[in-house]
Amino acid sequence: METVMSYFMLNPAFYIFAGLAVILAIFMITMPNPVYSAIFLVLTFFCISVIYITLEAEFIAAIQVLVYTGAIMVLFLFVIMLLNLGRDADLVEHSGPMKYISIIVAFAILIQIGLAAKVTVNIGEKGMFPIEKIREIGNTEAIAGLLFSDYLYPFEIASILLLLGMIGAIIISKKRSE
Amino acid sequence: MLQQEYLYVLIFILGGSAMVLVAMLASWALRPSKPSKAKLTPYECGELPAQADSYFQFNIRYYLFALLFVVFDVEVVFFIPLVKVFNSIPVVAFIEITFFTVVLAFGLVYAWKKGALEWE
Repeated sequence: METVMSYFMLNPAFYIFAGLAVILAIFMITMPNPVYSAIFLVLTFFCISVIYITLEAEFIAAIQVLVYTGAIMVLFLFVIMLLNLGRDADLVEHSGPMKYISIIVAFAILIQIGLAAKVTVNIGEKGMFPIEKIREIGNTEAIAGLLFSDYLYPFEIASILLLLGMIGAIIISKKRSE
Repeated sequence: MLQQEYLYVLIFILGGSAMVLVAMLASWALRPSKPSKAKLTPYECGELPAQADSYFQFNIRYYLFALLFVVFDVEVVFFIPLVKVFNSIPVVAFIEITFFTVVLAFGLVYAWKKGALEWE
């Protein structure tokens, strides 16, 4: 019990929001209405964003809110509306015994992860950007510095990828509406 | 240092909440109390709320707008780090960023030309 408390005191914000994220994720997968699930997913994303802040990764936290809770959720909601799933009553479980098997498998994986986390020392070798350096130059600046020097080429590829996504979306929706 | 910075965030959260609270309390104190049934209906852009079943398939057209929004949202993600280091990037990087913007602008032009932004 003492060790649990000491871990908690080490970083209370992390444990509060990590726990909240797990609870909200459980709500998300148990909601019968997919729109409610989407709302719980948004709340889960917010909790994960707070965890990023506790890791002093403010840029990722901001992007998490901007892209995941903003843009990706819009896509999820639009897919739900496009699929026209109907009323909650139509969405009853059809899994049967598979449900219990998957619960057992999920717990087995959980125990494995727990054991792995217990035996491995999770402090690796320091890389090019240790926390002291990040604190000195700033989070977003560190990412920008790399993005616009070493990773210029992948940055360009990203623009082509986005363009392809855009053209693909236009072609698909045009074909359907004609 | 870090805690200090988040203190500002907390001040902004409290200040923002206080503004809303004060506005709500002020209107609550000043307004006359005349409850009616119409005031309890959900607000839908001044119209009466939809009477028909709202469970129907939406037009795929809406999805196109959502996807275009996502693409430009991701573009913003690349531009946020840019503004932080804009004064210190080399010329090559500036040219590449221009190329990036032009490629995505081409996508917008394509959408426009294809009539994807029209709503017949």
